[in-house]
Amino acid sequence: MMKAVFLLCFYMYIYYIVGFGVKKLVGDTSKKDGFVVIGMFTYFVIFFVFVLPMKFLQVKLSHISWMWVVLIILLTTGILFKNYKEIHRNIRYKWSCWSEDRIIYILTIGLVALQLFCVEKHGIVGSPWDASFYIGEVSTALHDNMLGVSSAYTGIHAEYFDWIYMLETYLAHSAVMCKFFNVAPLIEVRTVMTAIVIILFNLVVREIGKELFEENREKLFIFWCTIVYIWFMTTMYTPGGFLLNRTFECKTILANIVLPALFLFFLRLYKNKGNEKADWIYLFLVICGSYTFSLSAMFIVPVALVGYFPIILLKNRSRKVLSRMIVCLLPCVLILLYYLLMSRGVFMFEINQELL
Amino acid sequence: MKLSVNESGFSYIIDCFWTYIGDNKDLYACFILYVLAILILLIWKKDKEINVFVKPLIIWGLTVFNPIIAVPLVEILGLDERFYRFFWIVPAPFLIGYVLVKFIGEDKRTLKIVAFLVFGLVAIQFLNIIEASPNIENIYKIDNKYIEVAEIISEDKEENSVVALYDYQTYMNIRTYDAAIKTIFDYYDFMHTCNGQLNIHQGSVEYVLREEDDYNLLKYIFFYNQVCDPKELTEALENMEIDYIILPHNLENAYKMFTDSGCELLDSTEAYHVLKY
Repeated sequence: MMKAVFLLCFYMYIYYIVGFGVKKLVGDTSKKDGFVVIGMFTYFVIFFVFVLPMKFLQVKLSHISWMWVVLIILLTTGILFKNYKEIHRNIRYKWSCWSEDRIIYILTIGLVALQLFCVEKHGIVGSPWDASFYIGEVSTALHDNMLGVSSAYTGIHAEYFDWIYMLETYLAHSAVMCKFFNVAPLIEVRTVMTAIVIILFNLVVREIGKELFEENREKLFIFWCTIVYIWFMTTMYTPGGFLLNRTFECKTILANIVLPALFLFFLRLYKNKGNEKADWIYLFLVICGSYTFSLSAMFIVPVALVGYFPIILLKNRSRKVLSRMIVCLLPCVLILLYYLLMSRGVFMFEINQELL
Repeated sequence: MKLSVNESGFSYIIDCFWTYIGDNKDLYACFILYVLAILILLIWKKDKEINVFVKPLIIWGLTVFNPIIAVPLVEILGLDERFYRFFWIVPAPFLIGYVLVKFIGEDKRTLKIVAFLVFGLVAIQFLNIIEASPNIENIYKIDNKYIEVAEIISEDKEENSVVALYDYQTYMNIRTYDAAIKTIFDYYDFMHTCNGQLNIHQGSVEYVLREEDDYNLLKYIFFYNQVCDPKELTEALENMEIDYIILPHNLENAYKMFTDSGCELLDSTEAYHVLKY
């Protein structure tokens, strides 16, 4: 269990630092928070770019895990040293907020802890078949010491890479981390990632609340509690149903983190009339990141954007805004193209059996 | 979601929505609150809120939730079972939360009291969920019975990986714990068996024996408790390179047949016999 706690802290540290690095890189000088969410999406986009060629080349998982962990430690250490003062200031600012209004902050921590406790203790698996695939994919990769070369269900070597799950590198990430830290897939996926999803869901809701109620902490907290209360009125199809019963699944991240994050950046862009370059970059990262979690994003993300973009465009009818929208829609088009080509069998990614 | 666009036609989207909400009465209340919240925004005539919460909904209503556009698309893309995911994009909880908070007003003291109250409500909701949850037996969050059989095989096996036969419940769990235990049965066979969709035609065991179809022979014996000559079974186990059989206690016919065909009982747990071939 100590390893699970360590891994949880390690992930949160990476997301925070990477998010902070992105904020600096895009020249975002606003006081707006939410780097952890940005950090998570950016981190998974970087991992996607790193791991996809490795997967094709059938590089051993043990090698991939070493390379990745070293790379990410170097990256985060670099960001940490370069922005030490600002990170320190940010933490001090957060601490000062804590001492200003302890009651609300204690309730805030209580709210997240309650959800974590409830979901971690909740023994129901919403879809055992899907769970067996998602966790089986990780455990199979660990056993094969290679990514995606065997069926998660049977363990039998496949002839071709499964194109449907090819881009969902979220599971590959779990395998990489389990390999390096020697953690059982069931613990990484069902405990650590479950906690991560719950925490990030809460962070996104909190950020949305901040956008709606500025810095009124009481209102923000009431809003947050209301959302959590409504969210956990579930059926097996609602986002809350997924969050409670299928927390670690890729679709859950789409429903509970990606879509609220899209709404968050829509709110921000609406407020600043689409003029803030940083928010567009964040939105772009969320869109790219969504495809590393679930291929369902291919249909759902563009549809969500179709609802949001015209509103921003109506508020600021400039070419700049239009061109930024087009850039944001580009990954959606590329993924759709990938789907069309693959589903028609135009490309097949063969597995080199000699390397197994 | 067992809804078909062919059966529902243009009412598919509405059918899908009611299935999405299911029989959860709280969600019906939320739906009513959501409609009320929209009406309140329209009455307030607040541009910002209408633009953020209502206009995107109108766009989606004209596009993805418009049966004239959506129904043919669902049909072409085969999204029958997944269409409900489009309801995820509607930020209904955020609007309900926003309007409710707006009604509370600005008084600090009132806000603090309401904060405690809503926290209490959430706490009660979560305590109810915890109370209704089954207990988790171990840190892996799967039933102990799967870990027990996996450990028995793990202690006995000499190879890096082994091939085993097991029922669909074990299928959904054992490889998440130990991927070294492989199996031969295809995912779809298990799915169909679970859903009761796989009907064996008359004399199927004889048919597969005639065809020397070892895979299906094992499937029929294992899934349907069918009987065959132990010699045929031995041959099938040999050809399919089966190392272990994890047999639920209720499959007594199969237990006798497997032991007659050369399998030996390695160990038994409360739920399973573990046989070695």
